[in-house]
Amino acid sequence: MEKNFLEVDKLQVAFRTDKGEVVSVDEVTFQLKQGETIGIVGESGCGKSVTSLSVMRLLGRTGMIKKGSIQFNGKDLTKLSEAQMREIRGNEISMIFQEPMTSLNPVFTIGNQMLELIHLHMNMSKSEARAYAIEMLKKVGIPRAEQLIDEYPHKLSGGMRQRVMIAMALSCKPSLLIADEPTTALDVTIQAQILELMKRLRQESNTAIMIISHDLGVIAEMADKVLVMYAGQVVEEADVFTLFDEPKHPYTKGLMESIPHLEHDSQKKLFSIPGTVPNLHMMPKGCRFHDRCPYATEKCVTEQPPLLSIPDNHNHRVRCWLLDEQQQQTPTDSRSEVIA
Amino acid sequence: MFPYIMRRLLIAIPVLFGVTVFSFFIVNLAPGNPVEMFISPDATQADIELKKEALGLNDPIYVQYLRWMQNLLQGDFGYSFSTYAPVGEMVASRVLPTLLLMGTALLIAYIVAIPIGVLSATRQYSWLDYLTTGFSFMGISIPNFFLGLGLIYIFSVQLNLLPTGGMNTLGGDGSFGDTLKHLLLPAFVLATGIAGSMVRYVRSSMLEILGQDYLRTARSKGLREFLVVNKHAFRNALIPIITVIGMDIPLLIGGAVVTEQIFQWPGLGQLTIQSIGSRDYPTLMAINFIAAITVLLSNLLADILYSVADPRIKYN
Repeated sequence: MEKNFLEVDKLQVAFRTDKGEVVSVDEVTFQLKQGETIGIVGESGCGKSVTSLSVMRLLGRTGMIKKGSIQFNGKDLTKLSEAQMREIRGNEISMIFQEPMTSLNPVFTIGNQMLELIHLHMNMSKSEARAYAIEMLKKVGIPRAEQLIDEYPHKLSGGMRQRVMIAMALSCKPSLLIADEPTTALDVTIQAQILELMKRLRQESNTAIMIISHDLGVIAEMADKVLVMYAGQVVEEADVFTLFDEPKHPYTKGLMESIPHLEHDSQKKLFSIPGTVPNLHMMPKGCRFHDRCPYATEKCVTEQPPLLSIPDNHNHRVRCWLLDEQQQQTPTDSRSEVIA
Repeated sequence: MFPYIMRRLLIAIPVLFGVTVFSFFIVNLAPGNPVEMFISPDATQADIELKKEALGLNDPIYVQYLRWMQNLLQGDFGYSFSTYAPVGEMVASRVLPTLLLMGTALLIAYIVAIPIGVLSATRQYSWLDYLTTGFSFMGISIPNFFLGLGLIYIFSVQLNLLPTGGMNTLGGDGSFGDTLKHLLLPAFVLATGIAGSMVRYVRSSMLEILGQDYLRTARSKGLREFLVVNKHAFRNALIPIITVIGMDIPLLIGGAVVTEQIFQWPGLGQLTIQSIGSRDYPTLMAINFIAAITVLLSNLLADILYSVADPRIKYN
């Protein structure tokens, strides 16, 4: 079995606000092997992006890692100096973002922005670096790369810009690529192209990918294993097949039921999870999902469930009290059939 | 770009014409006339009428204007009503001192204000930020005449370090060092006001940029914060800053009327005050005309600089 090269352990991230410190990500733990893809899924505001930004240590002035460690190739990223971190950013870990329209600096050319990165981490002459940048642009399927390299970002469409971002992110052959909602802002046909591209590049380079999305379809397409996050915590973790076949957590089930299906009866109302993600300032006691959960019991209101492996599959972890009871009685959950 | 500039210059001609019409009539609206301003109190009414007739002041205003325009088109600004010197020469001799004074003031102001504004924005709500916004507010608020008089009192009257006014010591050697000494106080006074507003513009313009996504991209490349701020962010914050600089350039010519007067700086500003006092229409018109040209040209320059700073702005 291959060794994990990224191990995030009990990560807790907090932000300073006017109303005091708020914990935005709590007890997040996951591991990643070389070439593996992990998907992080959840509603807006559940801490997906914060988790990924803390791996890059790009939490801004108000954010900080309070507890936990991030082991990356034998180094604890939470303990590195800013200068050491800069060596890693863009080089060993790189990132692409949700908004291709605003992720590139409008006043510098594509080439300028790519060369900046290449010069920072790779020892290349000016002309070599330029040729390499053009090669990278071609690799991500950008037509007329020789001309486009001298264009400004506003001349490119959203899909093209995301390709540029990917080319840039992969320039230094990172061992980890973090993709924060890489296709959310793109229209569907472009989404598919970008996902195809990422899959192809993953095969070629054996880069591990951390893909963040609220779109289960994207996750199903890309990920080997999945973290489902809710209100800053991991509520379920499993490999992608297990998760889609046998989701255990009521939240995961709810997410899957709220995917519209073409074959569904058009008269049937699409399921949605009632309520919204709780405010970070007023996190509910007990299970954070209890006020939206149809199965909530007394215990759920008062005690927080731990993230535990289920008996027959130790790689499948769920944060739910129901599982305790299900082990005693036969599952009476009719919903899982709807999804399957 | 070239056709655009040509078009802008052509449009400037009717604008300039309009400016001269307006200013000519407004200048003439002021009570009193040049003759009353310089003739001695015991001159008879007949003397005054004679003088007015000789200067052409009895003609209808539009006739006076057309006469002025006719001369202007031949490159002639006319003669001063109060000194009888050719206006062209009078104004020309004042341009250089004003350029020197305002150029120095603007340079000091920008060199100080731009880095402070950037720093203040990157450390928003720190004590440094409060300090700079506080000082910049003071810089804007203190009237130049007050600050000027205060500094003259301290540095010239009390400490006897710097001259109270003028550009060169009378009977002195006229050396550069001497001029520099005279330049120090008025340039500082002018710079405080300009720097005060510049700090605020730079700060707010940077604050708007600092939250942008592409800065996160720049950081995610492993770029050091210094470059993220001063290359990626500052370049984007330039547009509003260029606007302010474009508005400041006319000051180079328009001068600082009050400050020049207080420090007896022999520039255009002082000439303006003197000409208003003596209702010296030809001189006033010449100053107006030059100021209007400067405003139009610096607007054009700012627009050209926009397209240099931001590739998304293109003129056809």
